[in-house]
Amino acid sequence: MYQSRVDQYRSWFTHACRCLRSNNIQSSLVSPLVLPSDEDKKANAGALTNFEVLDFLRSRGAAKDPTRVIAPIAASEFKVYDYLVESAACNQTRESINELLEKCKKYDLAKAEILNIINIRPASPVEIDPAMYQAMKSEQYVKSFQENVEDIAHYTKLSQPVPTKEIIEESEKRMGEGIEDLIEMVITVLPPPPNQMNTEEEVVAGDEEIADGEQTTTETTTTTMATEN
Amino acid sequence: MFFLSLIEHTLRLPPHLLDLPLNEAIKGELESLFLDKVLANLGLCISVYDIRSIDGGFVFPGDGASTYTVEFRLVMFRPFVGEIITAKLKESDANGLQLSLGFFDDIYIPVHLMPNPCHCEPDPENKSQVIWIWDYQEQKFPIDGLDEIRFQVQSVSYPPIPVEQPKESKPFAPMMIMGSLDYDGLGPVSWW
Repeated sequence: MYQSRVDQYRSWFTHACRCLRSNNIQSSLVSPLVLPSDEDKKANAGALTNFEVLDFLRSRGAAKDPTRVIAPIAASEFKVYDYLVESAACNQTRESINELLEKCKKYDLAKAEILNIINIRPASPVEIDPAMYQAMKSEQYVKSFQENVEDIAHYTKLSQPVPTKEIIEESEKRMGEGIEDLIEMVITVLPPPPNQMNTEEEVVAGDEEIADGEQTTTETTTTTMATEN
Repeated sequence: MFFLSLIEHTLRLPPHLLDLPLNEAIKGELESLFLDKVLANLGLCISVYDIRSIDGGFVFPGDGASTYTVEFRLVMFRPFVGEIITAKLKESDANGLQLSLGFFDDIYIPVHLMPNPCHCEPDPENKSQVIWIWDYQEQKFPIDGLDEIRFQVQSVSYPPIPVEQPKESKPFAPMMIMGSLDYDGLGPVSWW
């Protein structure tokens, strides 16, 4: 009888240990490893433009060398920072993006297309064409998330590409000469990234301010992009 | 390219962190748990955006640490289908190209999604690599590693973890992006 008590206790103990250990799942695979997605309440709580992520990293103290050791930012976050600083997002400002969003309203662009435009800053119609062509396919995908669809199976079904109609010339058909106006507007509102500045012949309007990253506010609110559902 | 994901997780706070203020301790623990890791169907976690709520603080019997239920938002890297991204060339072989973003390397452009028509030539400098060349209107445009390559995301897949791996294969990639160069405006930036 004593032995059965010991066995009972032992089985309870191992069960309790197993429960505690399962809350902290770690395995020794090569990083990065895949963790089970535990109860993600809202898989997509808002899309972020490259500028917003850059702004967030800057507000936490990321900068170019040599202050890297002091800032409380992980090495992997610094890699993201390095990538973003060389992209078109490095000298955008919150105001310039808001201005672009305002002015894009009359062109009736999809959210995915606007996101593409802000992230790449196309300077010619040929660059804007792929931004608009296949972003149309994913518009349904982006919208479905913003309507709080939490079922992953539903999401994967919607993200299958819609049958391709003849939308290769979609951008020309939809907008015609409007494309030139759109490009013109993008070039004036968004500051060019450093590597585009050498190749661009048009002089950028003097009204733009180059963002001074350290002076941006540190509030962590997302811009109208995400809340504008 | 980046999304915010709202996540709720039950977190065990190790006792050696008890002297730190709660927010910092939990943030540090979340970062060590999620940063630079791939979450299935959510993408690669870049950083902890903010902590919305912390609940709990119970101590389970037999354990020295307290357990919290934390609700927080993570910045996830998860490009949508149709997004245009500029990346650098990392490797180029007979199966296609491999591009890298610095923080994410598993971007593949398979042969059938390269600009049509194109062919590959063995690289004179590096024996195991080839150079892809686009033949357009009798002109040749090589894809060399000099400038950035703009591609469009075709699909993002999360292959399941393999049970066993042969010893010499590449390390397992939990998130793979398939890209396409087969459209106007895509390919090395210098082409356009």
